[in-house]
Amino acid sequence: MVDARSRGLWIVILLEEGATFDKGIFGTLEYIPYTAAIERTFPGVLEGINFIRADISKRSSSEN
Amino acid sequence: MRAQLFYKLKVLQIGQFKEACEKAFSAVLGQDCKIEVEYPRYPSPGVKDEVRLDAESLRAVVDLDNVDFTISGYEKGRDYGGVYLLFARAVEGKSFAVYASDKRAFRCLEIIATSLDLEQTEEPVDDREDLETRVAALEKAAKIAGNNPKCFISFKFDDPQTVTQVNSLKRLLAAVHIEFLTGEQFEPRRIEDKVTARLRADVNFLIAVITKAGESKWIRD
Repeated sequence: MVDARSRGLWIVILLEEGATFDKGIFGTLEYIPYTAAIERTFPGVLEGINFIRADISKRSSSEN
Repeated sequence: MRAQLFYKLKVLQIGQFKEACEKAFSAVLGQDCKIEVEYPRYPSPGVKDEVRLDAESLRAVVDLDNVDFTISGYEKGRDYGGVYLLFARAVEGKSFAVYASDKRAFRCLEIIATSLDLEQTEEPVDDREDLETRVAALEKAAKIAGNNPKCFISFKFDDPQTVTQVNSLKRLLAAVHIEFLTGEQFEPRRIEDKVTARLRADVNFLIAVITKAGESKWIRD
């Protein structure tokens, strides 16, 4: 994850209830919690994708 | 030489079109040339056949907005090497198109146009607009495709329950046109090395699925 972070990648964490995650240096990183059904995370995942798409679009338009 | 010309519509007298065609083909192929007219027919959806008639069938052509036939002309005694003129509607209520198969066909067309006093027009603007719309749509699609992020899904792939959950996630990503990579494929090297190589493969974001079964070893590292 440090590797991903150092490359400037966005990180979306889906965390099942009861699982543990050592945040380490990512203390304030947001995550999406869910119980048994991972589908519960989908609205959050889509919001994340929209954010990423918008950012990519903004970057590409500022490059042009 | 082939040509496709467009003409403004005109209402003709009965027999006028036939006379113009006969005059044109006779001038180019000789007095005793043979003229055949092929009319396409669509008896039912997906089925097409043709009816071949002689020049007499052209007598009825008065409305050039409603043309859809091919006139073939052959020199006397020959059934091959013909001259073809294809008439078709271009823009309803505005123009019709004529396709000439070669130089001789073009000469026939010139004679017909002169005889009938047809006024040439430009290629329909509608087609150009349609092309522009299609190009714009393609550009937009390419831009959207260019903005589609690619992700790497990190999960513990030796746990069946986690794999089932991730399969649902994969379907969601596919539905919203997100390309994804995983570390599931076997490679004879360390997992960290494999994952790092994947992350270098033009990935925009990472989804880490952490279940009760645990997280991917790479996440811990």
